Amino acid sequence: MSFVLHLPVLMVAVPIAVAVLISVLLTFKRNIAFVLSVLTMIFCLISSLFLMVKVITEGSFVYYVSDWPPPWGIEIFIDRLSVYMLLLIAIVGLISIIYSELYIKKVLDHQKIPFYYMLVLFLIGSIVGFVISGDIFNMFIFFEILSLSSYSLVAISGDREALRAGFRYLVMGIVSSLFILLGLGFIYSVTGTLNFTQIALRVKELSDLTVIQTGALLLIVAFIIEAAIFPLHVWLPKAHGKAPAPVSALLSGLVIGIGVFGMIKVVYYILPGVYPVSFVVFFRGLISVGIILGAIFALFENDLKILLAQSSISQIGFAAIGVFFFSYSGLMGSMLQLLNHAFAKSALFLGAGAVIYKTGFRNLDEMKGIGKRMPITMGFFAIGLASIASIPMTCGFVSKYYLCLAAIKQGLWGSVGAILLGGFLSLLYCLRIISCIFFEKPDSKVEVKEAPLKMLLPLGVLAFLTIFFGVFPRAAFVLIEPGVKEILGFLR
Amino acid sequence: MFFQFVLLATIILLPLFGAGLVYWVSSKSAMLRNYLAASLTIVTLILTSILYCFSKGEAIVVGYPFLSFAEIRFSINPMSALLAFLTAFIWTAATLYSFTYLKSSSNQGRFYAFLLLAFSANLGVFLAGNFLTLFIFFEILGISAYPLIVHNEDKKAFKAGAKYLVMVFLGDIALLMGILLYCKVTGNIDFATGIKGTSEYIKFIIFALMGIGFGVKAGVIPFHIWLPDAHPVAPTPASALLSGVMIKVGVYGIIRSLFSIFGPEQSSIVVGSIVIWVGIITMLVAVFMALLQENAKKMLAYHSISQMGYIVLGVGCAAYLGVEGALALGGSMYHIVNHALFKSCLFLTVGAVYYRTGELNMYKLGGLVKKMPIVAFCTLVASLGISGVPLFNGYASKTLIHQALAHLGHGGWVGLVNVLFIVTCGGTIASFIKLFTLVFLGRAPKKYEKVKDASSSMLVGIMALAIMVFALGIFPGRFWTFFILPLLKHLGYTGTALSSIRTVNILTLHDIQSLVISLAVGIFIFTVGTRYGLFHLRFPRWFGVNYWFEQFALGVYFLLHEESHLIEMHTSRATREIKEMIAKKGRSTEALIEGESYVLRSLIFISKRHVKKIYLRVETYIVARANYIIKSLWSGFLAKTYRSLSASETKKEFNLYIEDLNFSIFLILFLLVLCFVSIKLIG
Repeated sequence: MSFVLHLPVLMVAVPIAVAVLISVLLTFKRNIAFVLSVLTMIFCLISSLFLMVKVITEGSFVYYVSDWPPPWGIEIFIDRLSVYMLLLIAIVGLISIIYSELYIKKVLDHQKIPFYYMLVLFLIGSIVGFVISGDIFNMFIFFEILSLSSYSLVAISGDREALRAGFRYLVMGIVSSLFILLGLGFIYSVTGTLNFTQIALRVKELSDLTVIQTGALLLIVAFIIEAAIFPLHVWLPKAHGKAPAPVSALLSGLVIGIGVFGMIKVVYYILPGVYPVSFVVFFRGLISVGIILGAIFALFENDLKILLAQSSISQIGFAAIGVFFFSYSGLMGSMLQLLNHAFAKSALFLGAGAVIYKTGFRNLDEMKGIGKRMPITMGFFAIGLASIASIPMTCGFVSKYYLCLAAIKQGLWGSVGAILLGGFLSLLYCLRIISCIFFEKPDSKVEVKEAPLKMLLPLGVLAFLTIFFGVFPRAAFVLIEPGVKEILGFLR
Repeated sequence: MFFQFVLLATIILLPLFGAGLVYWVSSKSAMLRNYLAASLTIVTLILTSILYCFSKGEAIVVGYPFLSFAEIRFSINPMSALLAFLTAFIWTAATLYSFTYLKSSSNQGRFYAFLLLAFSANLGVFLAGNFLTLFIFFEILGISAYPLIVHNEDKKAFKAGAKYLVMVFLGDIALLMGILLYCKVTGNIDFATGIKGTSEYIKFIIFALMGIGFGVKAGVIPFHIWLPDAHPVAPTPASALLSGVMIKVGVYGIIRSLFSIFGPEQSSIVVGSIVIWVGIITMLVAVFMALLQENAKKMLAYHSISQMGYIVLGVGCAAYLGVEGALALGGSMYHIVNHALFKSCLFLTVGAVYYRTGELNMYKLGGLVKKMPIVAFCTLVASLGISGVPLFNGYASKTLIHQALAHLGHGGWVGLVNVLFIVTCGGTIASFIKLFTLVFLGRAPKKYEKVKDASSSMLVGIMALAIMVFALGIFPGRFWTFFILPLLKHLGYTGTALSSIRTVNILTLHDIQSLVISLAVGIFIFTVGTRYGLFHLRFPRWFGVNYWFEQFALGVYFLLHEESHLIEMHTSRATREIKEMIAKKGRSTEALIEGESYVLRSLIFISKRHVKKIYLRVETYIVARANYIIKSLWSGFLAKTYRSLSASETKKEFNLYIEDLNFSIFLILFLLVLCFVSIKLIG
């Protein structure tokens, strides 16, 4: 089983190589892009399953690329949580790509289609690289690739609003990567290394932590921008709302989740235990405001996709707040919320995409009673909504239960209030959508039929996973429970 | 053990998957769907009766691992099994009834699917073995009742549905908070018999939070406001289930949380007296509201609130008395069963009348006893049951609760409680004399000449319930020993407490005395009420909780939409209409039943006009002032601050941000106050 050790690197290399291959093949083989990307994603899924078996049986491991030890070579660090993220990436990536075949043909020009697949593969490869890399500099590099491919994907349709949204995203993203660069400069100036484990060792010897704290603050702010947490969320609604549906699913389901995972990396792996209380309280406060505000934005939005994007602000806040509880339940809640958001929000965006594909409706007003016309599509959509609204027996409930419990155990009443209120408001906007879609009488007399099977199947898989992890959350615990305990050990 | 697990899983999963199946079949054939829905409920009924056989001994606990510290756990015990059987029984009756009732309705597939889903969730709540499971099914039940309430899809239904959901979700938040605090204090979330080693304060807070959560569902005053709107607006079978079974979930939760937090044998005077007074106020206010209704279903909905008051009163007595409270709790449990039977029966008969005549206003009906004899007879049986007449089931439970009141002591506030109890019984009797005489006696209006008795599938459901009402009335002793005593033992009462209530005499001289008094009060209220037209009185709207809730909701809405002049419109229209009314009619009571001018129709109306005018002027002034101040504060200072922070460019976007900001600041302030209070309390 020694080949498993090489799989993480291949999971980065293969998508990027295939992406390059697609751009080379462009001139004479246009139709092969879709097949190649699906095959790549299946490879990613299978290798992350192998990795899962490996870390469950043998625990986390370190891999040096071409056997060069750390100060010179690249280190790759795989533990249970990163494998968990890899699995999420592989599943959501595969599903989005399968879904995009029909959708992209409808919304994009014929020439742009191979570029689309190329960019998506770049995106996937860079996310995987970001998750597995064992030093900050590689994290920075992959973060840059990730950001660049996401801007291009947002703006790919080329209409005015999409370009504008993409540009906004670009500005925020550049600021964010500059922050990372600056932060790692600060850290390097004191510790002299960029490797996770070595930084953690050096920090213990330091007497004055001011520089390190500044560096950590810069890194966290960078990831706050990426994760779209209040008050740096302004780029998100338009960017996610105007992108093509499968791209929105990837961006909302994975990319902002990666922002939260970046925070976890900074707070637990790289610089554990250097944070003064005021930092933590400040961040918790910001995130709490974001949870409530995002839900309120969503409550009054009419464009369905922008509404879903607004709700992402609120939902990702739930995942982020757990990071700053520094407790078992908090981190568990956070990881489960990442899973919930990856599956449920992607299902929602894909569902909204199916409506756009069939009817071209974007506003909720137009969609009155559409659930009676396309019951299966909208049924899956409703399951996604139920999970976002944290209704029991979906994984949204489990994650929010853990978060709330963590906050109560530590007596953080402000966070408790934010979580409960955020949950309540999420329920309200989800019910607003549901009552509009299922209960109101339709205005238009256009005959609408069910979405095609190629779109329904990915949606159904996501809805099934949402329910499955809500009824049997223990299935996810195999990876995250020991993983969380392990990273909590770093704090000591 | 394995067999029990499979049995339980089947009971809960059969309606759950059946719901999906029924929805799917519905698009193919209506006939098949009806048969499927009926057979699913009947099979579940049979399974629950098998389940009851297993519940005699020790509680059997089954479950599967769910979270790291808790599992989804079900428990088979006398209490759960009894309530589950009751649920299944009434559900079967209502499902059979609904086939004819809903024949020409649209969206039937959805109705049956959610009926089955709610069935599954309701069974899940009663069979739950810890608070987590209870909460999960409680919330699923709350949501799955929504499609039943808005089934007609008209404006009134949506309004009632929205109110229902908001209230239930707010309740759920309080409940979740209570459960999490319970988890923090005890370290697990199992049902217990009393938390040990914590201060009374924390216990009280946990109970208050859980009590609010369950109280919303049970319709306890002041959380009842959704109930009189939501129950009548649903189709009749659904209202029968809402009032008969789903409302019991709330009371069941209150009993569970009370016994888990305080334990059966520790008396807690503070909690007990608070619960007793909540119960008494609920009983009394709701019964008087019921007397004033014209709509028969709305009247029944108010009676549901009132009967919940009886049960809560019994629970309060049990908490107050500790060891001696077993009698009170037994009475409450008995009343839960009884109320479920007679209230669903009444809803179904009133629905049958509506189905044949298309009229729900009691004053416009009459003389139907000859046209619909079986329905009339069943209504009579159920009315006698709810009025607490001997030989019908309500008598036994009401007497038990009344006897428990006697244990509280004599004189002082207990005397007052006693008097109010008797008055409420009288009010209930008057109310049902009114229902029966107005609908079934007297002369039938001409247009009802051709009215026939209800169809057979409707009658099956109605008669099954009526027979049970009668049966429980004839054999109260058997029921007590076979069903209630094991249940009390399960809740944690020990031998000494139980042995004293092994046999209870419910026909003592004192009981007969109070029965006669309440009958006299009832007849008095009825005669005086009809003679002087007191049943047409309307209290001013600001008198009720509902008005303030709506005002609050409207206020929030106003804060969100700067351009809307809703409140100004609201007040100015009210005053104009009032002026017109006074000019035209003076003392009219018929013209305005719905709408803003409820304010008019009041006791004030009978006395002086001036009071009214001054009140309205003051109200207009205060509302306008307060709104002006809030508006200027919100859109002036704070909006400017945010503008400098926000990245929005266009004016439209800017306005949107202001709206968001207004609401958020409002909510944050609210939240801070909430946090502050809770920190102070827990300290």
